[in-house]
Amino acid sequence: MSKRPLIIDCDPGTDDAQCIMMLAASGLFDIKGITATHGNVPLSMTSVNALYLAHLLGIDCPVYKGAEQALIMRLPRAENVHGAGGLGGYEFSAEGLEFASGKARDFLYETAVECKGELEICAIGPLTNLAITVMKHPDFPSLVKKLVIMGGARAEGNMTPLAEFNVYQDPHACEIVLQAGFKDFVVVDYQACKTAYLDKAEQEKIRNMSDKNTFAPLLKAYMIHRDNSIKEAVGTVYEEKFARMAEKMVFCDAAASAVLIDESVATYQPVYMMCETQGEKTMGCTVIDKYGLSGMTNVKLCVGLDRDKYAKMYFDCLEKYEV
Amino acid sequence: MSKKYLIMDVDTGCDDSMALMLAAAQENFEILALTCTFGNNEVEKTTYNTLKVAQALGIDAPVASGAKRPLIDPPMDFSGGLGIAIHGADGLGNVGDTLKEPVKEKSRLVAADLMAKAIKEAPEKVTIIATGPLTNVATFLVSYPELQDKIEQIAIMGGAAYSGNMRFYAEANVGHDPEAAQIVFMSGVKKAVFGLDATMGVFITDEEREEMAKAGGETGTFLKNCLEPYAATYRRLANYPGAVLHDSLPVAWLIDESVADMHDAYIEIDLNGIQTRGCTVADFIGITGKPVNAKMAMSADRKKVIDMHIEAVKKFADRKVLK
Repeated sequence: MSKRPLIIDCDPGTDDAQCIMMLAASGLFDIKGITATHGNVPLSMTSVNALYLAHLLGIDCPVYKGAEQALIMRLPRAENVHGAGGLGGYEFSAEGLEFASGKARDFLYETAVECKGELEICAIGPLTNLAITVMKHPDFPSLVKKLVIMGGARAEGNMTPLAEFNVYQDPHACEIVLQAGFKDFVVVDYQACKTAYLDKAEQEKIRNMSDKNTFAPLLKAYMIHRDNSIKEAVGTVYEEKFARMAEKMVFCDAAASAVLIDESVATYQPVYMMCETQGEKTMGCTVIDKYGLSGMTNVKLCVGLDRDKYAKMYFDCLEKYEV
Repeated sequence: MSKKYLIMDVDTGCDDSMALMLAAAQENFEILALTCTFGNNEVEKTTYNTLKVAQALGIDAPVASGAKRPLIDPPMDFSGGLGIAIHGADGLGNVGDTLKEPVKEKSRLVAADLMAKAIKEAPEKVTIIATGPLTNVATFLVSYPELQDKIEQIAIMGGAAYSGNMRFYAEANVGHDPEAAQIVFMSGVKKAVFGLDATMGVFITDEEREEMAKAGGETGTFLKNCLEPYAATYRRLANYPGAVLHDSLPVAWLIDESVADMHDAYIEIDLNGIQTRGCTVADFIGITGKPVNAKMAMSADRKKVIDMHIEAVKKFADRKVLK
C-alpha cells in the first residue's frame, strides 16, 4: 500500500514531539515536510525543535520556518508547560541541520497541488500557517484530502474559561480555517485530548525506559520537568489540577496523531463550529452549535478516544525507536 | 420546614406556568409578589397571562408589569420566531382562552417598585426567582442598592456554560438582555444559576403530561394542553423526548437542593462577542483568578423534578379554573 502524503504543522512543544514521533513510527505516512509555527514557545525555538525532531526521529523531509506571530493577537507563550526551549528543558544540538528555503505557506500549497488531492495535514499548533495559506490560495482547502487539528474546547478551556491554548494564540486564523471549506476536517479538542491519557503504571513504564530507545532521553527529560511542575504546584491554586495531571498524563497533540493513524480509535460528531474573535471574555472560544440550530456542519468533532487502544498505539510507536 | 418568602419575576410563558404551579403548591413558600417582563412574549401579554395563571392557582400576591424591552438591544419582535412557536401566540400554548378571565387588575406599581415594596415589608430576607430576561431584576438592583442586604438569594433560570438555544452560545433569558444579566452577576447578591446544562435534562414526557392532567383536575388539564405546542416544537427542532421545564428547576431546587448538581463558579456575561454576545462565561476552576460569585447547576435529577410536579398539581385538583 502506498504511503499517505502528509505535512505536519506544529509548534514543538513536548506534546508535538509525541505526535510527530507517532506519525513517523506508524510507517503509514510519506511525510512531505514539517512546517513550524509560533505557539508553545517562539518560532525561533519551535522551528529549531522541529528541525532536531525530524533528525532524531529519522524523518527525511524539509523543515520550514512558518509564521512568527499570530495574524492579530500578541500573547505570552507557554514555557511554563513545555520548559525552557519548549522540549521540557531537553538539551540538544541542531548544528549542521538546515531549514528548507522558501515559505511554509507556499510549500503547503505546492505540495497540495503536487499530491493531486491526496495530501493530509496534521496541524497541532496555532493555525496561522494554514490561515495564511488559505488567504493566499483560496483553492487550498479543496486540494487537501483530510485535515486533523488539535485545538479548541467544547467545554472548559486551558487558557480562559472557554478558550484552549492553540486557538487562543490565533483565534482569527482559526476562524479563517474553520470557514475555509476543508472537506474532511477533524477537530480534536481539549476535551477529546483528555480522554487519551497514560495512567500511572504507563507513566512509570516511560520513566523506566531503556536509554537504548533513541526517543527516551527527550521523553525522560520531559517527565522530570513534568514531575517538578507537579511538585511546585503543591500549595498553589493549581495544586488540584496538577494532582489530576499526575494521575492522567495527557499529550494533547498525540491524540491528533492517533486519530490520523487509525480513525477508529475515536468517535466523532459532525458539528458546526465557529471561533470567537471579538468577545472580551470569550476570545478564542470555539463556538459549537450543540443543538443543531444552524442545520449546518463544517467539522467532525472528535468526541473521545478509546483510551486503552490509544495507549497501546502510543507504546507500539515508541518501541519502534528501540535500537 | 422553614418558611421561604419569594418574589417571582416571570414572562409567563408555559414553563413559567409550571414553575408558578410548583411554587404555589408549597406550604412553606409565601409568594409576596409576581413581577412580569417581556421575554416569551410582550410584557402586556406576559402580565395578563400571569394574572390569569396566578388566579387559577390561587396566588393572591400583587402582579406588576415591568420591562417592555432589553436595556440596550432593540425591542424584540413577537410576530413570530422560536418563542412564539414554543409558547404559542398567546404565550400560553394557545389555550390561554380556556382559563377564566382574571378578576384582579395588575398593580399600579412598576415591577422594580413592587419588588422593593415587597422586600421592605417582608418579615425576613426574600428570595427572588427569575425565569425571564433579567431586566426587571437589574432595574431593581440599580434602583434600590440599599435593599440588596434583604435579598436571601436570586435563583435564576438562565444562561448556559457551553451551549445556547437563542444563539449557539447564548441562552434566551440571558441572550435577550445580556447587559441586565451582567448587572445581576456583578452585584454582590447570592446567586444560584440554572442554565441549559441542567435544565435541558428536565423534560416532561407525553405520558407524564397525561398523568399530570389526570392528577390535577382542570388545572392539570390546562397545564397539559399549555405544554402541547412546546413539546411539539422541541420534538420538531431537536428531536427532544418532551417539553423542557426550564423555569421549574430553580423552584424545585428551593424545595429540595438534591435535584441539581451545583458548582461554584465565577460568572460574567460576554457583551461584545460576535458569536458569543450573551454567553454566560463560567469559570469553574479559577482560571480567571476571580473569586466565586455564583453557583451553577450542571445537571439535574429529571425524575425527581417531574414527580414533584405530579405531586404538586394534586393540590389544585378541585379548583374550577376553566371557563
